[in-house]
Amino acid sequence: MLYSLSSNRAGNVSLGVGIPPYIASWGGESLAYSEGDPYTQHGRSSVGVNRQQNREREAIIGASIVRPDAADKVRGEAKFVDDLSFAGMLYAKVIRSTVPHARITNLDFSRVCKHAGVVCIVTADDVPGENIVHVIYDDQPALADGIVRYIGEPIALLAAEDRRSAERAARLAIIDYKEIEAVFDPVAALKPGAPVVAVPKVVEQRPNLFNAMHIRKGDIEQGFAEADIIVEETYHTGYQEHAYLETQGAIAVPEENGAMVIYGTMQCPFYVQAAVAKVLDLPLSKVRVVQTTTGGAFGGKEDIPSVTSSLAALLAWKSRRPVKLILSREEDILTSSKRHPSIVHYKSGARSDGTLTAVEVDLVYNAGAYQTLSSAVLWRGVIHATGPYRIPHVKIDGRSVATNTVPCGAFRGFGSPQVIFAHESQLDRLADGLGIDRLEIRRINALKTGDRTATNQRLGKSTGVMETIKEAGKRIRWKDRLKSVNTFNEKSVYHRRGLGISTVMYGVGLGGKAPFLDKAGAYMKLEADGSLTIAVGNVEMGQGFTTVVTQIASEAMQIPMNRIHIAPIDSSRVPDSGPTVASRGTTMSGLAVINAAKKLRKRIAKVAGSLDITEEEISARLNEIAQAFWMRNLDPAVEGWAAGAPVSWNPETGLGDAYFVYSYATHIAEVDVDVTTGEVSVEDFVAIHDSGKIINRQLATGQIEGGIAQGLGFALMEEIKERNGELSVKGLTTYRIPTVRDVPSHAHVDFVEALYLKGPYGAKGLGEVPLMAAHAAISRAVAHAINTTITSYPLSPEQVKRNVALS
Amino acid sequence: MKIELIVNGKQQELDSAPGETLLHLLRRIGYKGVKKGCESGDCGACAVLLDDRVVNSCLVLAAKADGHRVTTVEGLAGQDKTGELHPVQEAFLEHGAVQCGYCSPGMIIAAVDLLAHNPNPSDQEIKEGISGNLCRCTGYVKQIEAIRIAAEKMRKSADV
Amino acid sequence: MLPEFELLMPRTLPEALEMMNESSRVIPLAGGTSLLVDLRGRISRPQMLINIGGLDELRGVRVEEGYVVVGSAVTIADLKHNVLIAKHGQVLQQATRVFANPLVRNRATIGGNLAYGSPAADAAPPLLVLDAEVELTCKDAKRTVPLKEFITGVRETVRHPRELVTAIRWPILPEGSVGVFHKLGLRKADAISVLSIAVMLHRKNTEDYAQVRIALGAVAPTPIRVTPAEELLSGGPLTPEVIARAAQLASESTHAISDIRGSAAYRKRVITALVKRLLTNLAEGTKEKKHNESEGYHS
Repeated sequence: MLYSLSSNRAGNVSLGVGIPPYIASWGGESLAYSEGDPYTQHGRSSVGVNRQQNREREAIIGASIVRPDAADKVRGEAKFVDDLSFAGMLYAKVIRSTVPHARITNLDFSRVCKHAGVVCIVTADDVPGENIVHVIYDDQPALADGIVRYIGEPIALLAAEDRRSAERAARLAIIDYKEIEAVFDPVAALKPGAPVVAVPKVVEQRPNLFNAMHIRKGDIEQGFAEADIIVEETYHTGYQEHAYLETQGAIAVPEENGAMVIYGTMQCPFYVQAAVAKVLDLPLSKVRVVQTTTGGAFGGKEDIPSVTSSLAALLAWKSRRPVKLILSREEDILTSSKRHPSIVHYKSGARSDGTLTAVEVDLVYNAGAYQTLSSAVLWRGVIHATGPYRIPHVKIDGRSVATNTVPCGAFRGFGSPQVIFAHESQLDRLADGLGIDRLEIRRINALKTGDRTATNQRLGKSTGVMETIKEAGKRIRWKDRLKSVNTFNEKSVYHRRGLGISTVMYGVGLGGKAPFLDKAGAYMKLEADGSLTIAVGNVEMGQGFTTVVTQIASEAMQIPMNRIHIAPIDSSRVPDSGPTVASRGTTMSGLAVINAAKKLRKRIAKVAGSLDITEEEISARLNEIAQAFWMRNLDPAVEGWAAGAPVSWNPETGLGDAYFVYSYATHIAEVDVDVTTGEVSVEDFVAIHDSGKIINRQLATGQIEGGIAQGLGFALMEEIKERNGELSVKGLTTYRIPTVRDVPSHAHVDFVEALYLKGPYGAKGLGEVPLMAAHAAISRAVAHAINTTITSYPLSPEQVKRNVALS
Repeated sequence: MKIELIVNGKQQELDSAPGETLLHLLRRIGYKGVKKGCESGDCGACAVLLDDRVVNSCLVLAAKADGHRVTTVEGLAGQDKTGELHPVQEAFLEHGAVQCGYCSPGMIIAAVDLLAHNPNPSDQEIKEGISGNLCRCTGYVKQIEAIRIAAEKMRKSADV
Repeated sequence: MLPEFELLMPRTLPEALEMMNESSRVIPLAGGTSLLVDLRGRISRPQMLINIGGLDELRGVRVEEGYVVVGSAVTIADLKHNVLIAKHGQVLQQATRVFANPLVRNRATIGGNLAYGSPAADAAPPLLVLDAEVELTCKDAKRTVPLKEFITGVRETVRHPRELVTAIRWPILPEGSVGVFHKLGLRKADAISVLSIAVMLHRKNTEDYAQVRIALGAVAPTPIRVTPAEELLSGGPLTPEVIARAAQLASESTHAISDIRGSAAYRKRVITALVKRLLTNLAEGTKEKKHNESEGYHS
């Protein structure tokens, strides 16, 4: 296995070995360089060149390159969707359900129509194509057709000449309902005789059961028989709202020949393209989707942009004018998808030496009124339910259930944070019960290369989980810190300190449930002046994708970054490249770019040869070569393609090679609990990640710091209460996300790089992992501080105080 | 009603309805760098300097800004062709303080206000200065660092 | 988007009072940090607003005839840096540091915070323990109301529709007074109080005589003074036993509310524990640093 442990300084010093170890992997194993890459080959031809190139490679891959999109952003010149306008553009407003479950008996828009400025109204009857927002299963109507199933469901649309008229006119709509009995609790919704929420065609076995999945490995009874200790507990988590700073929005612009163009804030242009085509009954070729600068997404802009874009498109289609639809913050929080509330039950067994023998899990996710992404979210939850640990006997059952509440969807971690909260709590309880140190029990059970996961997948070389545990322990000085925490607690009257550790694994990409989505295209064009235009199909949403892809292209083409431009993301430029989710952007688009580069390099090398330009000179004289392409009518454009390594999954047993590779992390948090009030402060934090090769250290560190903050929010303060289908928060006053004063006073972020040789330069995914690990480290630290079992989020001062009383 | 504003040094006479906020007015006349995030004074994305104090433009009626100076993020960089960045903008750019960029204009304005009143802030004071600006991407670490670095740079150039 | 309304822009206080006198449906707009949010959420639908935030007569902090007088349009940020407040209203200044967020503090006014009538108004508990009064002015008259009688319910005050809150005043504290303010929110900045508490301790010459005032915010429909506990504590020495009894009494005598930020039971438990802790600290002269308290200059 190849490791490099690098310092967290921007200078990118590799400490492990003399030369950057990832270079050692550029033999035959790397997919990126596996076959006849002109640069590795010519690099081998001369030692001198090889050294120089290694230095260049080091300078690009792994360096903290400043993001090219930052300049516009700091000047306030970046164009987010609400900053755009088109001639003749109208403003849309959605008329929404105010009840959780009802038959619509009458729609009266007469007063709406009479309002000055109103241009058109669209209801379900107007939809030219299928009245469906296509995500995975086709159960969610674009506009309610006779029945509404949650508060906030779109019923009708209007477009007006200005925003004010649109808002005022929408208030004049009169909707009569005949209410139907509703159900809000997923357990109640599964009981016989419960009100039927789900559209029957999308349930399994019984009403309201959207999805049921399971894993059976080994013999669970035997596993528990072998255990010296068994702990059992039920854990609860609630909604988490993405609270991206830019709310959802789209502009639909009718084009010539009946085509429709969508501009919007989004993660998945190809989802939007498919959704709009379906609702307008257009061929895919007539729907073009352009992603605008996206002000944060975190999973929240995976499914909802399909809704907003479809609605804007319907109005644009009917009015034949551009239509802008921007959700207000209140509307966004009320109607956008969130993290699934969960009820998860765990029974875990271990031998007296700490070895895990069996884990049995039952998880129920509240999916809300429609399927959206719940099947995929549940699947990830099921696969990740046992954590990065070796467990011979596994029994997992997961269900996602329909209720009359806002549909839940993707949120960073995608069904895994709920089970991570539980599996890390269970592990600590086992450790405590056995008198084993909490870090030690993770070390004892951590998966290694060659071990088998819960789905019986044999892990490959890029398995750095053990190294993350060891390194995190070293950085915090675990044993010493435990002692200092104890000393503090003996002396302090009003405060208690605690130390929490959490170790996670994350399957990169979409995995065995949807292998057909793990692909990506790239288009690369050598311009006549030697600059390079690249188009890809995954998106920048703040995470740094554009920068990382530019670095990869620069490395693969051996030309400076400032000669490379990534074109705005447009669905017409490259083939469907799947969604920008599942921490897959760098891996998939990176590989597609490398694939394109390889093809273009070949052509370039040939032309260079004819011009007597040596291989070393190519980079410097690329403009001459490009001119020759132009003069000789040579094709200067190539397409690249990447497909994820094979995965498999057997729905009967739940076994298979669920994901092509996994990323890992260990986080350790030290918290301070004010025992008078129950307030928690995170005082110190260590995060060690294995995401393979880190392409851009500054961006990767930034991703992790942001993930820690979101994890902290999930564990400590973010909360939405639901009562009769109505949510308790309406904006960012009542939905609390961490401020600068809430984040850890100190955070040490670093990497162990267990290279993934089939990834771009050894890289795996990163985006979601920090959130997944952070919340559990913090909640475990609180549990440690006040010596109690914590079974639900968020750890509000009130909940902590209650637990203090119990301890 | 008619109001007069000096936006980024430029005097403007404008019509504004009584219910129009400074946020809406500024965006309407083209200052799109002023972002709408929550419209409840919690996120700070719409922050501007009103005279020399940072405010949420969503909580100020445009009419109340009549006769005052407004500075938006667009007014920070040099107004000439070179468009040289303000040291705070430069530090945000170089030190990874920008991710999605939606909070950046407001956060930068808050930092500029902080450094105008306190050229040598402690980390605690930096945190205090941006505690009315929410960022969902960065976890604030690199923003604090960027402000610290900008402060240093500004102090040095003030010494020269 | 805000609903439509008429906006009056008086230039002087007399002009404002004249306008107020003409209609009882004019709503005063000071900093606007709460009112604009309500307007946007259609919680409040006034037809006419009057901007009093810019009136010079309502600005300034001064000492006058043994009283500290603060103009109602003085912003929270101004108070945070004011030297007179540092000297004569330190407990209030503590509250300004944890009040909403710096941007809001630059607009929000002391008068607006009280006149809005929120049970969670962070300026209220410190002003209650300062024995503050609210000056109300209409076209022809002026009156002064003790703060503890000013707020009568959730968003209800004794202000007559034709009156304006023009100033807040409190008697200068005798030597030997020391106060503390503690805010409990659900995060460390820009939080609405779950509970806030102000305690003022005055000691005369000897250690054995103490007078104590305690006020609570966000636990009842209005900010309140905790009279039974104050009476128990006043006059005698602050022994651990009496502090513990007073803390218990403070909790028992408060009809705490439950809302989305916390239950009544939690609030009652915290009242007991915090009253005890803050009184003990004051009695012993211990200073604790709070996580959410700002230290430096910045507003």
